[in-house]
Formats: sequence, C-alpha cells, structure tokens
Amino acid sequence: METELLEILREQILDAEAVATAQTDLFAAGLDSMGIMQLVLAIEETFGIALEPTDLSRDHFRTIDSIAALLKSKA
Amino acid sequence: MRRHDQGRHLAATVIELDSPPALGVLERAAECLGQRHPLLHAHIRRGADCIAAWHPGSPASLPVRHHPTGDGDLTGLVTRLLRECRIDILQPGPNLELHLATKQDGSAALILIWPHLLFDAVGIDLLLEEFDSPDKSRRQAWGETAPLPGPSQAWKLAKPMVEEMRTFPAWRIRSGHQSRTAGPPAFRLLRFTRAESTLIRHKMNSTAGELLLLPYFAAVAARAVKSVISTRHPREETALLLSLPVQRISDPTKRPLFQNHMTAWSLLLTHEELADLPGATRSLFKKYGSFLRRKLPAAMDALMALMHRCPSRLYLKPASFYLKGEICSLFHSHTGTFPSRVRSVLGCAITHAYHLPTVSSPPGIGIFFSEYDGQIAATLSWRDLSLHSGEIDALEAQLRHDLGLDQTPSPVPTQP
Repeated sequence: METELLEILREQILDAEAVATAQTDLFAAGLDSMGIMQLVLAIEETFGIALEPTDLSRDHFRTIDSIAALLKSKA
Repeated sequence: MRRHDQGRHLAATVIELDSPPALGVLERAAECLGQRHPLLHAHIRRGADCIAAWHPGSPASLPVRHHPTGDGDLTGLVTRLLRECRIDILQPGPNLELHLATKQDGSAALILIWPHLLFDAVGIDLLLEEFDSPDKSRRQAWGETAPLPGPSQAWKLAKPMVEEMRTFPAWRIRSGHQSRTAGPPAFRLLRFTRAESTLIRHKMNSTAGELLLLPYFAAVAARAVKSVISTRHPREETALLLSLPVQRISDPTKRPLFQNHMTAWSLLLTHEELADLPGATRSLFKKYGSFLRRKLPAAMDALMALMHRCPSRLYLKPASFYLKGEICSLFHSHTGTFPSRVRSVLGCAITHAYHLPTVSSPPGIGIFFSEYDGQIAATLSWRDLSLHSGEIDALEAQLRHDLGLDQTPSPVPTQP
C-alpha cells in the first residue's frame, strides 16, 4: 500500500523529488488542500476506500506511513 | 460580460507594517521591480491571428504614492485608490501601483494595486519574496506559456465542458447581480482576532476536517450569498454556481510570478445541498471528485484556449445563452497563509496582510479569505447597486454564524 501511495503522490500530485520516502513530511513537500482532494480520489480508485471529510486530519495526512495506517484502519 | 469589465478587474493587497519604510527606499524598490520585469509595463493586444498576447513596454519605475492617513481607515483608502486607479491591461502603462499609507500611531501599510489577468495571490506572494531585491537585470519570465492546441484538437478536448454547460440553464442559477448598471467597487473587511480565528478553525475541524480549507470556506461563502438571494426570490429554490479557482500547476514551488493561470471548475450547489454547512461542504467535496473523474479540468482548459483564439463575439453569445446573463453566483477564494514565507518588507515587520479584490457584475459579490500569523481576514467585495446596506449586514451575519462566531443571523431586510 505504501508503495502505491508513493507512486500516486509522485506521479499525480507532487514533485517526484519532493517525496523521498514514506516518512517525508507531505505538507513540507507542498501538499495543499487541492492536492489532498486529488489524493482522496486516487485512494478511492486504487484501494476502493472512500474517505469522509472528517477523516482528513493533518496527523492522518502528514506522511505516507500515516495515510497507510488510516486506510488500514478503515479497510 | 465584456461590458461589465470581465477579465479587467483589479485587486489590492494590503501589507500592514509595524513602521513605515523610508519613501526613498520604497521608490528604489519600485525602480528595481519596474526595470526587472518587462511585464509590469506590458499590455494585451490581439494579433492578426486573433490570439490575445502581451506586448512589452519600456522598463521604467513603478508609480509610488504616499498617503498620510490620520484615522488609519485603510479599507476606505484602498476603495478610493481602486476607484481612481488607471491601470488598464489593454493600454500601455504600469500594471502595478505602490502606495504607502502612514498612520498617526507610527504604523504603516504598503498597498499594491494590480490587475487580476497578470497576477493572482500566488504571484503577489512570490513578488513579495523579491520585493527588497536591488537587482535591476531584465528578466524574460512571462509566466505560464503552455502551447495552445490546434482548433480542432481543442474543440475535441473542450466538448465535455460544452456538454456540461448545456445543462446549466436547467439549474436556474442566481447571483447577486441585478439588472441595473453596476456601480464602483466597494468592500467590507472582517478582521478576526486570534481568539476568533481559533474558534473558526475549531469549528471547521469538528465539522469538515482540518484540511478541506477551500471547499469549507467556499461553502460558507455560498451559504452567505444564498441567504441574500433567497430573500430576493423567496418562492424560488436557489441554486448557486461556484467557479472553484484551481491552480493549473499543482506543485506550488513551480508556479510562476506572472499569469498563474487558474482553471475555473464550475460546480453547482442546489437549494437542498446548501441547507446546512456540513452538507454543503460534503457536496462540494464530492462534486470536485466528479469533475475530476469526468476529466472536465482538461476540457475547461481547452475551452479557454479556444476562447483565446476566437473573436469574443463568437463565444459571448453562447456563453450568454447557457449562463443566462450570469457568469457564476459569486467569486471566492481562500489563499491560505499569506504571505507564506515573507515576514518583513524593506526592513519593516509585517503585522497583518490580506487582499481586497474587486469583482465584476455579474456576479456582483465576492468573499475572499486569507490568514496571517493566526489572524483570519475575510473581505466582502461587491459593486455598488448589486447589494444594499442591509444585505451587506445580512451577508456578514450569515458568514459569522457559519464560521461559528455568532449564534443566529439576523433576517435579511428586503428594502434598501
């Protein structure tokens, strides 16, 4: 799951070089409100998990690891 | 649309400072900026191919004026400056004015006036980062310059958006625009204290999550506008068309100083969806997803590219037919933290910063948010004759209610 998230972020949302690892701070890498919405859609398409607006907290979306933990808790 | 100055509207950015920079220092910065960027003295002209393009002027200093303001009424000063401003992107001349307002208490404000076709808030943010630079060497950056697709390819790409537009008449959208001629621009600035800003963020976090800044504040703005329109048309189920401004370049570090072209994503909020704030935010969030899934952003870009290469009479008629005289229901944005990195200008510490964008009519109303150092600011922008004073009060009351600051908004008065 972490590898797929890394690919989504690098290919569709952020500069590939800005997202070095699953521990990279995504907000420092430039993830903004629109990027989060794109990411939520990509997650729904790739993993079939629909996130609600209230799932979208800074803690959940800080790193790829934290997003993966959220998705695993909802799977 | 052209008659109402669509595309030629101006905006002001106010940077409040703890003390004024020396006027000579500001004039030197204006000289360097004007020499450095040819676009600051360029104008737009359509060529023989009908494509509108920027044409450079001679590099020169930017105009600087000093305004001692006894009572410090910055919004009043900015309103006057915008009404008197001579910036016209269709004529040669400077495209950026710098004004220094000094107050009796020793503080000051730097006011930048700029045309929206050349800059947006991202561009102004980048401009502030290089504001103090003494560099005069000429740069050739002209902003985003993606090649336009050929007409037949553009039409193919644009068709899904044209089909989407054909559904607009059934929505019976409304804006604050009234059939009378719109007057000059007018503003009300809501400056929320740090305590109020904390309350606003707390309500947002508990109702929509802490990261959906744009759809949440767009829903807040839409509900405020709906409260006014519903009073004007009490027997109608009002639907609003939002033009959600989305930066074309998703990576913020790659956005240019000039012409950060935005795609306007046209999203509808129905009467039912606007009934409560969490529902309106959720609907907007889902419609954004639908817009993306149907690949309408690329279609919208292609449609805009087609419009760039057509004489305006070719697209104004269909636009007028499908939009029924409306362009959208309101303008809005949340530019997030502004300025994002700069904390001082010409050696003076920034204490607050915000934008006062003018709006055209239609739509006649705009609501714009930004935040600096934990203080949220909201600018209500309208055209005289679009709203009367009671409606402005009601707009503010509904905004404050949805933001979590007041319990119950007052009813909108029906008489001016």
